[in-house]
Amino acid sequence: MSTGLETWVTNLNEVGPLYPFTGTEVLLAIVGIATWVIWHIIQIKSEIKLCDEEEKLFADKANLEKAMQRSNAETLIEMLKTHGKEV
Amino acid sequence: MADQLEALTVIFTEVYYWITVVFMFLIHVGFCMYEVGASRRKNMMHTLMKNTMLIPLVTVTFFYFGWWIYFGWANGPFITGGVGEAPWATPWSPLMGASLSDADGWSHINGVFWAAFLLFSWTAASIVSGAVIERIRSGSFWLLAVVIGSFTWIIDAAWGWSPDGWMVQLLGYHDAYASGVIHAIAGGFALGILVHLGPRIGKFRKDGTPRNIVPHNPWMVTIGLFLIYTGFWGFYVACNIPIFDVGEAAGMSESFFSTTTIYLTPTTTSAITFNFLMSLSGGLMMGYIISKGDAFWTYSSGLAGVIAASSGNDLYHPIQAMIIAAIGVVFMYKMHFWVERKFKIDDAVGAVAVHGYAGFFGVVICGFVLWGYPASMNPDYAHISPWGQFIGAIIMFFVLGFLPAWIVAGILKKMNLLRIPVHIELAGLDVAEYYDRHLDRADVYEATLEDAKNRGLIN
Repeated sequence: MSTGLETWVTNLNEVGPLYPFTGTEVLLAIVGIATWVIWHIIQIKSEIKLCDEEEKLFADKANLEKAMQRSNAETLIEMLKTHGKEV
Repeated sequence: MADQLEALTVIFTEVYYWITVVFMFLIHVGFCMYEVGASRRKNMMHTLMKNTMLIPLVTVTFFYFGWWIYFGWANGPFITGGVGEAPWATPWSPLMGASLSDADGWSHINGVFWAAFLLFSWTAASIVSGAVIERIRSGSFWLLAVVIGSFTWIIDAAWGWSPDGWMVQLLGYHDAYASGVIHAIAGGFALGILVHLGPRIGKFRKDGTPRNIVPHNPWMVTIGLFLIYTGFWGFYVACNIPIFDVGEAAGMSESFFSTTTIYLTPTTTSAITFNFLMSLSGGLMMGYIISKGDAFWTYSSGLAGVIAASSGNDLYHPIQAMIIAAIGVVFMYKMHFWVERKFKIDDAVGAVAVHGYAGFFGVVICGFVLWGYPASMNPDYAHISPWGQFIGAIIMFFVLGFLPAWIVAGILKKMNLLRIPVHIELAGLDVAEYYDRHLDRADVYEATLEDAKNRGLIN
């Protein structure tokens, strides 16, 4: 079975495409475009889910306050203090 | 290719564009460093991933339809003609892959030429990325990145950055190094999003005056800008055709080989090297004075200076380029702070100013300085003029930049997909997405502390 090119010993002016399965270009384009669209759908759905979960977590005022302290900690020492550790 | 001289020209051109692509990659590295450095610690990873993932998304879409638009839409379509034939640029063309199929060398040039344009696409999207950091949802940004990277910018290139685009034919539009076709459009696009997105929490005081949200790492910001300068060299030479016979178009009886602009009008790599460095210098000098030595604005002004002179940097005298750059920086700097205060626009990295306002200025000023110059080798096309350039700048900044972004961002906002929820913005985008990492960091520190105690190294 051959997927395309079988020899280099030929008139190279007449070789044309070098990739395997020539003739499937339109199908490949359809698959590629579909993959791109599906990627966006999956990513946006997953981002919405993540945002919803985090919103629920941070709806608790104590959780949000702690997270804000942690995210604004510049150093590890500062962050550990937000965990209630005296260092 | 059987002819050795033809082969040498074609394969030199192939390698030439390939090298520009590698250089231009540094623009993206620079933008990533710049944005991450400018963001606060709590948002670093989100900022990085937002900019990184535009690379594959713009690449694949530019392969699927962006490249074809460049050749197919030069007439509008339906302004100076219909949809153009571009069989080599469709995603199913054998020339969009490994091929030996043509006699004129296009199988060697197509991929590297596509990539050079693609790197411009990344740049356009990456410019927008910086303006919207720390509050946009990644999914929305990536859709918007595809809109500018694979659709609107390449329409403007077809119209005003190709030898026979309708803007070149009818307006005499001239924009050799993309003041308008990359920078003004990207700045306008960013502004269109920012209008809907709103400022970051804490950016403005109750009386409306802005706070300075300090970059978490100014060194990353400055090194990022240095890398953008470096990549800009690649960008400049990628705007040229390295070897082209302009003799026939000039009406000469013999060949005249020259480097040309994208419009196939002659220039030299030396000319653009003079002008790149002199406009960079003009921008830096004025930026230092006007910002009173502020590092962020001085670096940005260097970039804005080059952008302000880019439309005509194929033809300007180097000192003209320097003066234009310096004036453009004053315009850019004043506009940024006026718009920020007047309209409460939070442009996190000054992208609208550095690219949008400086790019707009660059297109317009070119109309005055190069007034009457031919925009093309075709004597029937319009010449460069202030009005042609002004209309061109409006098309770049507002029609293809601001407007599409304002429409798409408005739709995304209505769908509640544009902005990160307020709780997450307050907590920090990384805390939200990488919450466990913070716990891990504390856990590891406690373990090392315990180990040190067990060894008797500390009490």
